[in-house]
Amino acid sequence: MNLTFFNLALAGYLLAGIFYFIQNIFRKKLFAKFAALLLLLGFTFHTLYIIIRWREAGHFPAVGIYEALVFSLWAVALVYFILKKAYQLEFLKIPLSLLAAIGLAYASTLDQSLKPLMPALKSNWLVIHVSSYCLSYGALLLSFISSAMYLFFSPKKNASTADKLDYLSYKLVLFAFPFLTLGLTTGAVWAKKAWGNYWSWDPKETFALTTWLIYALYLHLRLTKNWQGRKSALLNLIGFFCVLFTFFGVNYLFKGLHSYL
Amino acid sequence: MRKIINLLASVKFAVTLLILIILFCVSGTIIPQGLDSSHYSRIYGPAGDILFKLELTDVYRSPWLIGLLSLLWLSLLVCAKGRLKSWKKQTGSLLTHLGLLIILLGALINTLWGESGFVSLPKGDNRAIFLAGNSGYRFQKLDFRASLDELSISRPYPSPPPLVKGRISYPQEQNKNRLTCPIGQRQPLAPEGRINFFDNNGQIIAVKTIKINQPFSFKGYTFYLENYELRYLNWVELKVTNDPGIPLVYAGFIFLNLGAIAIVISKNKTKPLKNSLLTN
Repeated sequence: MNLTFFNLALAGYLLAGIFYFIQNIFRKKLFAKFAALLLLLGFTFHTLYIIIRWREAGHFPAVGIYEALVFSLWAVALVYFILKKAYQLEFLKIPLSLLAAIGLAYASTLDQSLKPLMPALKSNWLVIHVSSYCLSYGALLLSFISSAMYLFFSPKKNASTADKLDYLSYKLVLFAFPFLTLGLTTGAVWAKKAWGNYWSWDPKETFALTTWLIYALYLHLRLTKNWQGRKSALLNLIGFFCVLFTFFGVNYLFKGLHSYL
Repeated sequence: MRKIINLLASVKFAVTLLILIILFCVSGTIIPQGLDSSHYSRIYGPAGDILFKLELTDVYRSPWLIGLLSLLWLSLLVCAKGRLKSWKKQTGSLLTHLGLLIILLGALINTLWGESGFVSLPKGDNRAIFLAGNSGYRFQKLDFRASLDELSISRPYPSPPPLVKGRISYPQEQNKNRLTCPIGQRQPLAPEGRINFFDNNGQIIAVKTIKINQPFSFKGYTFYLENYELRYLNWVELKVTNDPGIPLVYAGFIFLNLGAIAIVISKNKTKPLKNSLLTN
């Protein structure tokens, strides 16, 4: 498989991160514009790479850890571009670019061979289940970054930046929640179709449910108990550790039904 | 009574329930589930015995989790009732809570009246099918029999082309878009079975085809291909289920999803319930 687009995407993200960083020091508008262009180029090449891989593999390219990682990084960038204007995501441009670059660099060390699709995964539910999860995880990752920045980096004097980060992390969880719900429920419907049980307390399912419950808790505390700031940011971090554990941990630690990834 | 309802309606109570349910779910993934008591004494020493007695080794069927889910159901019910009056402002919240109520109801129906079981079908020989209830172990015989008529296996992918310097080389004429199975990996197989159904007099009443991921339904029961004999192609194992709560569960899923979308797009975010809403 041709990796030109993959490498161009990686280079785009990395250079965008570097130029954003330089702009942060020298405060030149030109650097910011150039960096934004590089980020967009990186995302375009990333998109092209996924389309080509989809064509070559003949199935939705989110099967196996390599494809899942490349696709979810793409989803993070997609969420960033969708919400950039509406949610004022400029805080996240440096972490996003560097994260996408590091993520793709890590992915390039994994087994990239095209794998035939197992018969159990041949289903239209694959596309909707996986893409809604990737979109929600993308938004939750951005939310996690906002909360982490709020907790560890936000300047004490600059209260308005801290408030913005806090509000942003909440808005991103709110955006992610319907996709998280869709992913969980389509997963159950698919499991019923493929395995005969819509719910079998498999570790992956259980942790996906735990993740959903934690974000449901987050939203309840935020909306009805006015949780804000530190407490809500900490809960958001716990939620995202659950996401990571559902996404990676479960597959390495347990042998379950869901060991396709 | 009012005190109980107020407790069920309180956010604090719901939050406590959620946290406990989360902890039980997590414990169920940390502690291996459903093994014999001797295994736990070996893994955890004397603590293993306590875990077993507390039913933490079968958490998902334990009275703890069932009790917590029942309390959650009541809490959801009171909460949904409280939202009814201002449903225009709180459509999303009402829908998600109703969705969860319906899902849990469907799950209860599946536990009470659902049946499931496995049937092992050798080629040619027709067999009776016995199903066990999902909650207890009352076996019940179905009023039809089944046999494996034919089992075939196809290899959906062509064999891999030769390796050249560690990369797969595609011969010119071969269509690159056709996926090949990487070297050293097992070919995914696509088994396909034909199942005959008989009435009790031995008359064939139906013929069905089964594949992985393509179950079929017959007389209200759903049949899945669970296992098959690869070499002689003379045996399959089918999973048979009847889950009467499924329509409710799926309806609940739809409510839940619509509600989650409505919460995000609505301008009126959920506000704390006023006590006046609950008491009258």
